Amino acid sequence: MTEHEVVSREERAAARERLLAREKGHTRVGDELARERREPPWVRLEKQHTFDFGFSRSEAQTRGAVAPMLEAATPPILEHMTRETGTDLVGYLTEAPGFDAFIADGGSICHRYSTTARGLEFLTGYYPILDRAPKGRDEGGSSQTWIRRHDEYSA
Amino acid sequence: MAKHRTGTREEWLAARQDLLLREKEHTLLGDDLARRRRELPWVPVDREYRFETEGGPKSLAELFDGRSQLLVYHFMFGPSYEAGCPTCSSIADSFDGVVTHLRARDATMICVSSAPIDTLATFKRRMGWSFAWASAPEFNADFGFSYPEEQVRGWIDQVLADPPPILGQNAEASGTDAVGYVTESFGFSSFAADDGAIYHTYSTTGRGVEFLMGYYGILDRSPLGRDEGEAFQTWIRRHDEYEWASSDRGKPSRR
Repeated sequence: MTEHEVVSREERAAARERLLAREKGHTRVGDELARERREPPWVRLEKQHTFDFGFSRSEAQTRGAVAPMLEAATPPILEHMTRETGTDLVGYLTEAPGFDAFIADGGSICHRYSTTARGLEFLTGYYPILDRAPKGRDEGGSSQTWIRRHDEYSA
Repeated sequence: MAKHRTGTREEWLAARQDLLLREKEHTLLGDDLARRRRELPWVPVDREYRFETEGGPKSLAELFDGRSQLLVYHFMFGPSYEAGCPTCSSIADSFDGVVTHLRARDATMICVSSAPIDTLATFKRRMGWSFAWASAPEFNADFGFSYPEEQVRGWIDQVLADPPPILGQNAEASGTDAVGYVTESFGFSSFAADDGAIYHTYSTTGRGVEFLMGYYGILDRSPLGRDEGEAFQTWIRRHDEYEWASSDRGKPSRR
């Protein structure tokens, strides 16, 4: 494990207090963001909406979008995930992860919020916990390659 | 429902792009805090504690279970409680599923409470949780998450002069009174094992445990938000006590 300064509980208290002030500031910005997320205008969905929120693409669209990537080296996480899901790179990338929120308003439905990429970390319970663990996420340059389905870890 | 205006997809997108920049700043600020937490000096744990577990008595070192990081949720379940605190139970629901992923990061996550181990084990079975749970009143007291009743009686009147609604509700739901309930406190602590020694690296409480309340992060992105007003958390029940809890999870075994 990395080198650490070792002190008494009393000696650390001041450093912890300073960090706490920063943590509280971060929490309050989070509250402010939550309020702001409720501000944008509501977008009413047309009847018979066909769920096109940009989280799924056709193979042809995907091939066009990832052409530059296909020529360069594939990032380790993509190589890993492609293998794990039993498809090829284009097939894997036809789906993107995302989170959407809707509200029913009288007879109609409104779309309120959408996020993807690191915007989804609020749903990855382990990252916020690791952000408070001695070694942190400890992923180096290859994010998420340690993740397995919960029944696939070896003992 | 909140007052709102409807708009076009283009208007929404413009507002969303603006918000996205601020969300990214918030994420980067979170990364910076994570780095600062790792830079905090470590404090050696030089007292020997005894932990009663479902597998018999254990030392703090043994709780690491062969890994180099031990993460503890201090779960409010005191000697006078008949059932675990409902809010702590909702927190345990939030992290129980990721304990297996944390193992893959060299971390063991457990709960520590002051109630006897048999009581904890019975409640754990009722809730269907998988994490290890240890009874260690002295450990929780030393880290500021449990207090003797005499000490609580010294300051409880101040709290009871203007109690948050959640206090009385959770005390009653836990089968105890306000004094019995607040002999326990909640929080999260991290420990590192390094070269034969154990160090306390981090602790947090209050809103500092919201990273363990999965539902708040989700509600902060939902149309109505947390929508709690002043009565925060009073809507929380143990997962098998909601009116829609399916009967196949087993009947609550409240004594």
